[in-house]
Amino acid sequence: MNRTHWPPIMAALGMVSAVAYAVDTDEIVKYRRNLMDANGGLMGACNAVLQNKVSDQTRLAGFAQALGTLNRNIATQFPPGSASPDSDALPDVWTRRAEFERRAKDAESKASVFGKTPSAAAFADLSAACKGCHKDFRK
Amino acid sequence: MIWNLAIGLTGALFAGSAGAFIPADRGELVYRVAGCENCHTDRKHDGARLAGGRKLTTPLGTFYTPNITPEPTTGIGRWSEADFRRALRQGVGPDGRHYYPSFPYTSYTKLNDDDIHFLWRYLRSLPPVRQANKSHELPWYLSFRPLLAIWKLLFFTPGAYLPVTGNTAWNRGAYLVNGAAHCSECHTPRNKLGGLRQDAFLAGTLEGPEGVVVPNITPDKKYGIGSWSKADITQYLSTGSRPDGDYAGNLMAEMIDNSLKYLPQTDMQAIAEYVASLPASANPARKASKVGRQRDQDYY
Repeated sequence: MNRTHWPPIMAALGMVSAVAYAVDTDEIVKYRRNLMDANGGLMGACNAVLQNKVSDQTRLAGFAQALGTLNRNIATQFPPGSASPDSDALPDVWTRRAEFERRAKDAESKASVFGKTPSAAAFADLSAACKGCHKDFRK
Repeated sequence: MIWNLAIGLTGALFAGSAGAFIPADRGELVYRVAGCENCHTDRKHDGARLAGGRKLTTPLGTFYTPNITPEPTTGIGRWSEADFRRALRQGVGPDGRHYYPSFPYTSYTKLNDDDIHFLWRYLRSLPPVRQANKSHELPWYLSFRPLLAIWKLLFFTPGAYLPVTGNTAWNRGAYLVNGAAHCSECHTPRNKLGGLRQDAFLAGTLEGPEGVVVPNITPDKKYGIGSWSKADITQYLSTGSRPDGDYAGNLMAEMIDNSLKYLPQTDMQAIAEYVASLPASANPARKASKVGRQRDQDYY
C-alpha cells in the first residue's frame, strides 16, 4: 500500500471510532435512564403500598426483590467518558469517583436489605440513599 | 401573627412532624425555612457555616455570597437589627448600597417583623468566622450599583406579606412560598433584566440558578404538578420523594435537607394548600432528558 494512502485511511478509522463511541455513549445513557426509571417506578409503587394508598400488599415482596437486583453495581453504568448533555448525571460522578462509588455501594446495600425485608424502615433507608446520591450527583 | 399561632401550638406541631427534628427556637426555624445556610455556606469547599463564599452562577454573572456571621470586620457583627431589617425589607446595606437581587430580598421583604427579629437574634447567637468576602464577577455595565435603584422601581415591591383571604392555612402557605421559602426566586422565569415574570409565576425555567432546569410547580396536569395530591406535595417537602418514585436532586434536595424538612407538618400542608390553588401554567420547563418521553407528563 502506498504511503500516501495512510492519512485518509487513518482519518476514516478515526471517524468510524468517533461515531462508534458516540453511539455507545447514547446507548449507555438511554440504558441507565431506563434503569433509573424502573427504579423510580418500583420505588413509587412500594411507597404507595407502604403508605396504604393502595391495597396491593401481595406484590410488595416482588417489587422489593426487583429493586435489590436493579441496584447491583450501579456505578458500572457510569463508565468514564459517558457524560452527555442528555444525561442528568453531574460531572461529579466522574470527578469525585471514589465518593460516587461509595454512595452507589451504600444504595446497593440498602436495596439488598429492603429486597430481603420489605419494611417501611428499610424503605426509608433506601429512600435516603437515593436522595443523597441525587443531591450530589444528579442535575 | 401567624408565626405566633404556629409556635404557640408547639406540642401539636412537634407531634405532626413525621419524626423530623423541628427547631425549638423560632429564629432557627425562620433561618431554616429561609435557607440562609444553603447560600451563605460554601459546602463544596468545606467552608465555615455562614461565612459566605459560595459561588452562584447566573445568566447575568457570577455572584459570591457574603459572610453573615457576627464577625465585626468581615461579617455583619457591626450591624444593628435595623440594618438587618432594612437589608431584608429594602435590599439596601448599612452603607446605603443597593443589593443585587441574587440576594432574594424581593421575597424576604414579605417576612413579618417578628420573624425578622427572631431571625436576627438567632444569627447573632452563632459563632463569628473571620473570612473576607469575594467580589462578584459581573459585566462592567452591571457593576454600577446605583442602576439597581431603577431595577427595583421596575421589579421590586417592598413590604411585609398581608393576608388576602380568611383561610389561615392558605395565607400561611402564601407567606411561606412568597416570603421565607422564596420559592419563586428559582421556580419563576426571569425576563432579560432579571425581573421575575409574574405572568409565569412558579411555571419553571430552563435558566435556573447554577444553570439548572427548574421545574414548573403550578397545578398544570401535563407540565406542572397537577397530578400530585396535597399529601404528595407534603411528602416531597419532607423527604424529597416524588409520587413517581423519583427523588429531588441537586439544589432542591439541598433545600429540602437543610430547610424544608424542618417545617412543621402544618406548614407543609399550608404550602400544599396554597400551591394547589394557583392557576395552572402550561410552561414546558423540563430537563432535556425528560423531553419527548412517554412519561413526560409525570415529570414536573
